[in-house]
Amino acid sequence: MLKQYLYKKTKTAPLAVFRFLFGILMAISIIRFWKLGWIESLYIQPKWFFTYYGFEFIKPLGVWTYFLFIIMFFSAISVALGYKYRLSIILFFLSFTYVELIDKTTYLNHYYFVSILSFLLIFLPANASFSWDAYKNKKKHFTYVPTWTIDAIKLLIGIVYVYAGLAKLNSDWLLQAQPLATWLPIKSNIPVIGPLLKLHWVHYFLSWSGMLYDICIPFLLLYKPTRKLAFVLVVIFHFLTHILFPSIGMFPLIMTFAVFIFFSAEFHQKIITFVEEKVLKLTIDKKSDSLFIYPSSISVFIKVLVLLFFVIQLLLPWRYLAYSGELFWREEGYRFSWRVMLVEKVGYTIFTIVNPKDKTQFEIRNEDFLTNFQIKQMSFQPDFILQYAHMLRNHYIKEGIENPEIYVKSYVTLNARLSKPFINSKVNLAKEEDSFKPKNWILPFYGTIKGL
Amino acid sequence: MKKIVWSLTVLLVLFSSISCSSDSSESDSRVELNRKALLESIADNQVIPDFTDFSVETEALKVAANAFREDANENTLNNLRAAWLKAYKVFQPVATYDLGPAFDVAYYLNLNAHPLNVTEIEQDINNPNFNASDLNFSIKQDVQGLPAVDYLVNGLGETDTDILAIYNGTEGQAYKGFLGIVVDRIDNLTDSVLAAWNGGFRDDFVNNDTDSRTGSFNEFINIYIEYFERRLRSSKLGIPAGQFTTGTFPDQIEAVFMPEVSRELLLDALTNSQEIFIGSENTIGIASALEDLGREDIVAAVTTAFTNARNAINTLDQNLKLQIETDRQAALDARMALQEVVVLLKNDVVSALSITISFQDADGD
Repeated sequence: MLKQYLYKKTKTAPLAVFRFLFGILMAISIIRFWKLGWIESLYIQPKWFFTYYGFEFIKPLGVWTYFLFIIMFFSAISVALGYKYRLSIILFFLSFTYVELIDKTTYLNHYYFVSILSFLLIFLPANASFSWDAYKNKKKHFTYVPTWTIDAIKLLIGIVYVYAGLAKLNSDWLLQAQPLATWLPIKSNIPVIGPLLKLHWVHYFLSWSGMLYDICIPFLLLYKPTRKLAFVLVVIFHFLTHILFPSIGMFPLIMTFAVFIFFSAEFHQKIITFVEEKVLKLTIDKKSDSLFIYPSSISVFIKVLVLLFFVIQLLLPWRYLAYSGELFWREEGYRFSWRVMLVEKVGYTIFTIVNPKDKTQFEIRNEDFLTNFQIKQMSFQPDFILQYAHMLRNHYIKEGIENPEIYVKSYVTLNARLSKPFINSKVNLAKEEDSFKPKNWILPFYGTIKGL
Repeated sequence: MKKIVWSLTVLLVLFSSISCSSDSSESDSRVELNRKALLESIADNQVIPDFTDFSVETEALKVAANAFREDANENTLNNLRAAWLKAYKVFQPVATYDLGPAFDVAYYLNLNAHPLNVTEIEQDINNPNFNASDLNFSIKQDVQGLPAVDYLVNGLGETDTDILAIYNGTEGQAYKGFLGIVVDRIDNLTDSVLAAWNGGFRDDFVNNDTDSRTGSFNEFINIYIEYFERRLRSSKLGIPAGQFTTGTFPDQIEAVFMPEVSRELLLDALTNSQEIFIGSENTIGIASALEDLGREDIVAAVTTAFTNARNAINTLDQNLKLQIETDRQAALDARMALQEVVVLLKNDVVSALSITISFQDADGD
């Protein structure tokens, strides 16, 4: 059966249109990011950066970051055009991912999505039609591609939605309508829907319908009779998130266009034919029915790799089960799991350096070392706190303090619960190692959140 | 299939009505946050009256300084000193409102950058080419304002006789001249800020009632918290007591040349911050916004923290300089009590009101 599936073929069109939209949206996102001055403020201004565990070799590039964004931009355009597609998508994946790895302060689930999606795209024949490569070289033009290459993208989008929905199956989201009940009332100045946002039942309605939307939407998109309605829901949902949370940036637009992949090949073919005939004025041999086949030398390798990719994607979000304690509080296994907009969490974290020699001590002004954004993110995430403590330790060793001890006073508020102490202030963090082991210097959560 | 879709939709609506009916009565089924009323109260009942009061004192300070410059004697010195102290006390509330027209002229830093740079002020006093307009430069912020008047009326000698001797000595005219420049500038800056508020700015402030990061509500909470953390907690107490250092800096307190009033100034500032938060008979506090959102728990916690901080400060010597020199730990403990307020403001208040505290701009998810 699997064999049969792997040999199934589909029209190339959906993959080609997806490639084009992805490239264009990435290029726009990059211009937006640049214009907002974020390259400067997020990647050049900070003195210290929070690298990901295991990726300490990724170094900030200073003004060369602009160069990386230029590569990213032109590779995105090339991807859209389908010009030297394989090389372009590899360059895009590498440059984008490198930037993401510089500082986890900027981690967002949708950046992670772009990163892994562009990785997946490296292995898909997205330039088989409607591309510079295919127009230039008829041998590279294919009418059909293996169905799984399109399904792979649908599966990835499906994982994102379903896991985001499963993550909402918790008592804060469903029974307290948190954090929406915190975020929405304050937005009552929004025209038309503003007054509704003060109503408690609206918070519950949006929490529950958001959860159901996330879990159901991939299936509604897959099933032909519900597809049109599903797309209407996609547009409504993402438009609403854009209105309510303008700070999520390009994400609603990206997701809305991404679900085009669920539409039929005929739909995509119409778009392509229109563009080719009316805009590009090309004459394409329509009778061709060539099928893209991976070279036999790498065919198995690619299939295994893609399979492995999805096994990892399916398992990674569950790694939090290996830790005890409240996930939202401790954040052990929180990232890379499509936990989107689940917590309103704010922290206040102050570090004290103690010189063991004479027992003198002083407090750190976080502003001296970190940007405001880094301070905000550091203050409620334990792995940041530990990493910062180690950066401070190394800094003060250089300043001449032998074996400085580092203690933290930290308070965190989570989903409308009053601030409580977050980190054990008696533990010398200079001596604690960073690892995947449970962080026993995080104080226990003082409430309960039931659910997945 | 359509049936399935419809039943799903119905289910959705059903779910939400069940989940809300479980915990809502008529009265708390909606949350009403009236930002405009709060902004109006801040503008009309706090900022403008406080600046108006202070402008009366800066005028009185100018009058007393002129009388003293005319005839420097025990009597005019005491009057000037009293006018300065009164002005310093009435300044404490307006110190918080460092936004809009005040921010544009660096109002706080021009009026209350402490510690005073004594070496530089002495150079400037004795520099015959020094112009009043030189005080406009930001590098001159630490030779002017109320700390400069403190120095000129309290800091020139051990006793009044010593001080008067300077004003009536060979360099007397230079000191008198500088005093005149400093009190004029305090008065002019205050009048300009007040005039701006009484002009168009009041309406700009009140009408900018959106939830965006540039909205007045967001901006006011930001400057309120920043003032409390940096200027009240750190500048008045924490930094002199050595919160960021192994040693202490008792000379960095407010009114260092008359240190026996330093605790009083701190308490005045605390009273005003508390009033901005809780409100009073004729003002609406930030607390009302929290109550609108059903967060009485935060209001209670902040109120307790304010009380604890006041109690801790009251255990200190009225002379904070002496306190820090003799028992630094008690000062650090009081500063910790102020810190508890900061935690609640920066975490719970900011979170509940969805305030953007960092002006760093980036996408979120």
